[in-house]
Amino acid sequence: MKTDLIKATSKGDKDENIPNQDYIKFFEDDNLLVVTISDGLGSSKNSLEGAQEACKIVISEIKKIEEIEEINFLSETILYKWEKSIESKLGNAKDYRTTNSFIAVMKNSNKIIIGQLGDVFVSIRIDGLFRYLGSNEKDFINETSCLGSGRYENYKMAIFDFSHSFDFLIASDGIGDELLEDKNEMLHNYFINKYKNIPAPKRNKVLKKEIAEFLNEKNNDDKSLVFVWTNMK
Amino acid sequence: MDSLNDFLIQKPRPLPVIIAIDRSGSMAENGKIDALNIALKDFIDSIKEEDSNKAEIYLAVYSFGGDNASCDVPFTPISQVNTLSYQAQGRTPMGGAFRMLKTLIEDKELIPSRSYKPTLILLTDGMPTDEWQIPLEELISEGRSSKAFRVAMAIGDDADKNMLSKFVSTSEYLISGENARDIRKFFRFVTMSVTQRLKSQTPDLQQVLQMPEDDTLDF
Repeated sequence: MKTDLIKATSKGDKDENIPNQDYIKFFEDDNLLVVTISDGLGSSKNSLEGAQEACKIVISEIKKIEEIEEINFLSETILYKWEKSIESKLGNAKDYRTTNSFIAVMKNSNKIIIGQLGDVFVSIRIDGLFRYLGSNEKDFINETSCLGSGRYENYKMAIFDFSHSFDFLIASDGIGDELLEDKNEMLHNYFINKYKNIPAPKRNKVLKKEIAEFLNEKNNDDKSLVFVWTNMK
Repeated sequence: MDSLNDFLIQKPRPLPVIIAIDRSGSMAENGKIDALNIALKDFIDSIKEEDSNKAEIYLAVYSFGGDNASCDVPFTPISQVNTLSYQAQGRTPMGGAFRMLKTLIEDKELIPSRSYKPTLILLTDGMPTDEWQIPLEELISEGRSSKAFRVAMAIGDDADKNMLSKFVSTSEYLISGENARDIRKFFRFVTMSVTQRLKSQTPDLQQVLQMPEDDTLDF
């Protein structure tokens, strides 16, 4: 199975001394594909570090999975490992708060695992059908559950089987909150149809330009996006 | 579909501002209602001039007086709001206004979750004359409305400052005024607060603002 992946991240309109607090990480080998995005909270001074740590732990823990039943413990394991890791750093866990979402494709067993903690947007189509994770609606724009909140929060998890194809989008809220819900399917088609015709080495640059051109004026949030699709050629 | 822009919401995120005004009979004394009408007009004119492509101010205005509370400006983009003018009469049915504010803020059709947190502004010179404890408690403690930034002005000694201190988000958001002049000053304060949120990189972080000094006011 061959997949194509495009990704881009863009710093929001904010002070120069504040970094882009979004973080993207992915891993792929013959058996496994994992894509994860964290969005460090703007109000937490070390949230980029918290975001990086979350992505690193997500990939590390998913790589360890041997039996599908182990997924039942994945959320708690990630939360525990993240908290342990943050304990070893300076300051309070609240200084490292971050959201995180991930999608893992177990290629051998044809399973897709989705995890979502907070408002990192996830949209997935499997074998031609969109799958929904349930409502993640918040009261107001900058509210989210997150790692480091001090509350008991778990990832919203889902497991799906796939037979031949999938495509998915993960995006931080700076993008996800601006998307028209009723054009989701068309957006997936747009990414596939547009980017399959662009030479692979140039794709991420074109995507970043699109984000800068159309999304940076929408809000001050950092913006990150990953789109993956199975290449049927 | 030619670009990513075709899949994006084209409107800026709403920044709700909701005002509740006392138009009871006592507001007719010492020129308070006249000062209020001028201050409200100045406020609407001022924030209409503010421009941002990242947030759009939406205004709703409620009032309480006579025998009931009323919605005088439904939740509307500020660019479409016309000046309004009040006459003072009757009692102070503030509890009815609290109920209406709550209903508005909980309505996700009107105020979508894509909105910034509302700023809720209350101005009164009296004590509620209807049942207000439960509506206030529900407004400040439950659901989405509990997350609004709540600011209040108590005009004169008859205002129920105990009740207002419960209403506001933090103690510095309860402003005491003595006279009509202070009403205009208060609305300057509110204008500064709203425009600061509009321009802020973090509009939902609570701002700490000072009431303007008299010499900065243009009376």
